[in-house]
Amino acid sequence: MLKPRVLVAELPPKEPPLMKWEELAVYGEPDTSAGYMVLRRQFNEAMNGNLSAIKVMLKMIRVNEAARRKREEYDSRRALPSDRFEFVTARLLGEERRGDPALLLLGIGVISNSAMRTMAEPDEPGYENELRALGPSHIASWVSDWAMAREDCPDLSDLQLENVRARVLSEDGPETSEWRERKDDLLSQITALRGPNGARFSPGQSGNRRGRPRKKTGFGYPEDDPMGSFFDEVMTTTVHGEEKAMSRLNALLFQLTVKAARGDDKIGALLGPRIIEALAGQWESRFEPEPIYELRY
Amino acid sequence: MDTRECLLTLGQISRRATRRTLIMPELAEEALRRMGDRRLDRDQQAIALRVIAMPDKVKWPDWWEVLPG
Repeated sequence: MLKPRVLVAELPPKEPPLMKWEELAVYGEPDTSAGYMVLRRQFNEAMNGNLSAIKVMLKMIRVNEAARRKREEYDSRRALPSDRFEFVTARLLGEERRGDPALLLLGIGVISNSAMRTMAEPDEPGYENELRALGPSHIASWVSDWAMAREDCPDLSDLQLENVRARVLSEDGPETSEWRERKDDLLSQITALRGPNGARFSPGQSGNRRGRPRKKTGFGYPEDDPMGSFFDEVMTTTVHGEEKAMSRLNALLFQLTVKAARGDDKIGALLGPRIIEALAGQWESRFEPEPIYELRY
Repeated sequence: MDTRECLLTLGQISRRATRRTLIMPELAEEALRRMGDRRLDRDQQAIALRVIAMPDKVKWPDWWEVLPG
């Protein structure tokens, strides 16, 4: 007797959801995403006095303010960008050949043979960067002789004299023979790279073909604040019978304050703690020292 | 001691410019005098001008074209 064959259908593996619903809410173009629509609707409800919608809006404001405080604190601690050129020089060349190529052009500085040998070859990848940052390794001997013969030369200690002598090379001596050989070639290359015309693009050729990217602002772009410019969008509101353009935040707060003042106790109870906070902050600010704008001697 | 510190010890670098190396005008004049017949083209002159402190005080040679603005 044949046993009936049982066919087990292989179920397709359960597909993971494409994205969480929170991600879905802010997906797409900033102004047409589902999350934006929801908040916009909540905003309109809040303007009409819906208590739960007002709570949502107040929470949004709190989140925004907390993020802004965090960003301001971060910005104040952020270090200034370092000088890129110095960085390249220090990283690629070390302390050995730091300086300015103008000193080479004027004949004040020279490069020793040992420093020339550590330089990259023209076909090596870092050659252009190295050339761009090329500076003298030593100063020419005539500079120290001339400077020490001057009346206004400062009195040098023995140690200083020793240090200066260690950094001086004769421009005609055997230690700088390689520099003398390649001097004209290298100087013309440096000029092409760093000269006023060398650093520029030729007419009609732009180094920034696609232009500066447009600044992305708005809901879903968290560059500025987590809520983007949701609260900064301008809308018209009636104030004392006149239509006025104001930001969404100002319009909301104005509307809520008017409603609370007119006797809506529920809104008043929501706004009360915030008003107390604002008053307390105003009182505390009296004890902060006044900023000094002008120094008097 | 690098070249900058060396020139600083000899008093030939402006002490006020801390970010850049700016040589004193007397040293620039002496360097130009020592060049003899060698000339710098306009681009090179512009590069050299950028490292001279108080370029208005320099007595430029006749062949020098790029002057401080």
